[in-house]
Amino acid sequence: MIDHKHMREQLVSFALGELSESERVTVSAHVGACERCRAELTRLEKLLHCAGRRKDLSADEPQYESARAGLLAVVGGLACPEHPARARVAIWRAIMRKRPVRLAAAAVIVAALLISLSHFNGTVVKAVEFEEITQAMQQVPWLHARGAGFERQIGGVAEQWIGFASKIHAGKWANGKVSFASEKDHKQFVYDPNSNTITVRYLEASAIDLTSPATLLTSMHKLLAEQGAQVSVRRGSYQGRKVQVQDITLSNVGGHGESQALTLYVDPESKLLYGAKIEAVDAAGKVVMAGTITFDYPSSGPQSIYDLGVPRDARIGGDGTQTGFQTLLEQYRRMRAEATNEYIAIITHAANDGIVTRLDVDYRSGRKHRLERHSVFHSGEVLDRLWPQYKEQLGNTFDSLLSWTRRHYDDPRAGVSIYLYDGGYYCSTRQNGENGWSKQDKLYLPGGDPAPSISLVDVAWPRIVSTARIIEDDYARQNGLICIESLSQGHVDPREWASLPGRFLSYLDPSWDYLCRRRVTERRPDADWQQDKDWLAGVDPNKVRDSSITVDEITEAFQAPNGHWYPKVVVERSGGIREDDRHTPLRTSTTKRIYPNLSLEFPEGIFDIDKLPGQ
Amino acid sequence: MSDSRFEELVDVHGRNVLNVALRILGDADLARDVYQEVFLAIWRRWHKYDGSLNWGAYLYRVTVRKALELARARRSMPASPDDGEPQSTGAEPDMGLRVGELQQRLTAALARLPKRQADVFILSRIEGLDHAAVAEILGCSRNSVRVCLHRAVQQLAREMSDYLG
Repeated sequence: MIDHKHMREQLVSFALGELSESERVTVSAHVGACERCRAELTRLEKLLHCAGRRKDLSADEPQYESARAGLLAVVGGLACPEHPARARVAIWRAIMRKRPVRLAAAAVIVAALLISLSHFNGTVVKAVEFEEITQAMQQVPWLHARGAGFERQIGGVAEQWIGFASKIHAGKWANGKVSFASEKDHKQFVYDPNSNTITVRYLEASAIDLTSPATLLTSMHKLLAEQGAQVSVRRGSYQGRKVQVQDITLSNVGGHGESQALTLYVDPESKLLYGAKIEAVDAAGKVVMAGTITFDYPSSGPQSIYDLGVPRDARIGGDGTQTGFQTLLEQYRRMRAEATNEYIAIITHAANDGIVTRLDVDYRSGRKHRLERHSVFHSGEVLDRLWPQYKEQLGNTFDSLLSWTRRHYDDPRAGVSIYLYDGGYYCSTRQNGENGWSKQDKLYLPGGDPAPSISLVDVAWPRIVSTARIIEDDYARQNGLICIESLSQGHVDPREWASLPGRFLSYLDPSWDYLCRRRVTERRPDADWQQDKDWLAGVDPNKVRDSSITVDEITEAFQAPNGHWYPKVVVERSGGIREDDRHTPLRTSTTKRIYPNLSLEFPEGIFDIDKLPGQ
Repeated sequence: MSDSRFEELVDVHGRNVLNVALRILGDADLARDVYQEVFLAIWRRWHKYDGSLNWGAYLYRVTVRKALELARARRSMPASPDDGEPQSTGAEPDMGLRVGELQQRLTAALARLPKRQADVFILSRIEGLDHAAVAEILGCSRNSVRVCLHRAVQQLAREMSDYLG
């Protein structure tokens, strides 16, 4: 007599491949004779097969890059009110990322002192010492500074050279990037080791403000003086030499019990700064920030980016002789900002059978942004059977779609997610079926809007990285478009799947507000731009995906009464790439239709976080 | 820890986080939401992490949890055979039920599983990790992984029986 309860366990083990050979024989014999268990085993195997199919799913490079860039943009500007220390990170990032040229001179000093400035929330009484240091710093031909530690702020080592007379500023950063700027040549070079590319940018005259150390040191002094730190000056030694030591301490910062200390080591004769040490300790005595900066004053410094160890075979991107690419990028970004400053847009997403499965309502007013994502079908519904009925309900105009979303919003069965950014706070919530709305996830994000992609801006004006370059190709020439190319390197992820090298082409249409008319994403394991030609050595061939190509194309656009151009239909097509380099016929996978409205008044409270459900 | 360390964390583990979320949810946009939520949650508590954390294991746990939360939130109706119209009258069991829908059913069924069983099933059968790796990530014994996996498979097969033929 077969115990079917036991056999059900055995069937699971069988399907999972856990049984010994003899056990398999026993189970197989039973399954051969028992219809019920045979049906059960079939179900189990189908289930595991269904789950196994997902193993091959992975995001492509543009999806990953877009997600990464979105995240880092948010984090870069993140200043969480509960943790004011984050604002200091934003200051550092502002220096490192957003204003590298303007603050090029003495970036390390300034960074260190700005960090201490923000960390101290102000204070230094001995004005004269700072003035003397500042003056002395401007008399030297070259300054070399090396920052280390700063576990919470800088992370590792950053090194900088400043040539005061030659007006050169160069730096090696903890993330491997290298920069070299020459004010005399009006050029700035930035090397990115990930793409092995040097980007060349035009440097505006007087962009390097060599008076900025003094300016910033002075303003730092003023701010510090308003506070009330304890300052003491004593004699001491630093790396074997006699120095004047300035100890600046601040206790119970912000009432949180944190204490902070800045120590400056100054040569008593030359008044040159030789070192700085910064440390912050929280109420529990744990060091929350610590780092040192050493300064020296060589007679010469790097004369080119190659003097800083950049490989000679690094690819040159950007535009070394003219302002072409950077100007284009600025123009592109300006057009995008102007055309998308204020609108309500509805974007429908249809599969290749024409069935609309999702509908996004995208509201934007300046920095304020709200994205409502509506799933057209409820979980588990059979799409093609219900589609005729849903199609009628949705209609095909902005008004009909909008009124559908408003009815849908209150349907407890609806799948709706809302992402709202009010210019300062970001909030998201989701309809949670029978449980109502999920609790809001609320963040203070003065740096930017982290709403998910697929807004009007993303569809028509995708992100273009500054390391890209303009290239000539037939399609661009024949259609009067500008083609911009960027490349990525293949790599093996922690699960040992190979992510193929990527080539991304964006075709901008200058006659249509620089709309990105066509986007091409190409992936292939044998890409000639892959630096490490042996990158697939030892990788399981089953974990290397096939070559592929995806083309997103704006097939219809229109000019609105405000004069700007907007996309109307975007078609995504994809296919494979054969060994002879030709790609297989592209098949349509998704069609997005965009219904913008540029004159509609925003519903009252649409950007009001307090009116969002899920409080 | 620093923001450049955070960036390094994102670079080292970000693809895996995005891909794990994608494999659980089967939707690139939702996966991106999870990716962002996972890293923003870490960033908000960044100063509280110490250097001893096994980020790979931690991120697996957090990503699976967040993705399942999202899947649960999107599950507006129970996907039982009574509530919809899953089957046509065709002779072949899954005729009329598209592969994408079967996957959708699987996601919905995963969202209904007890948390530990869902974690084990995802890590083991979707991520393809062996029992030892799953046990390390979840901080339990290998035997516990095995038992949970069995229960998860049985439960999923029961829930989806009308769709698996």
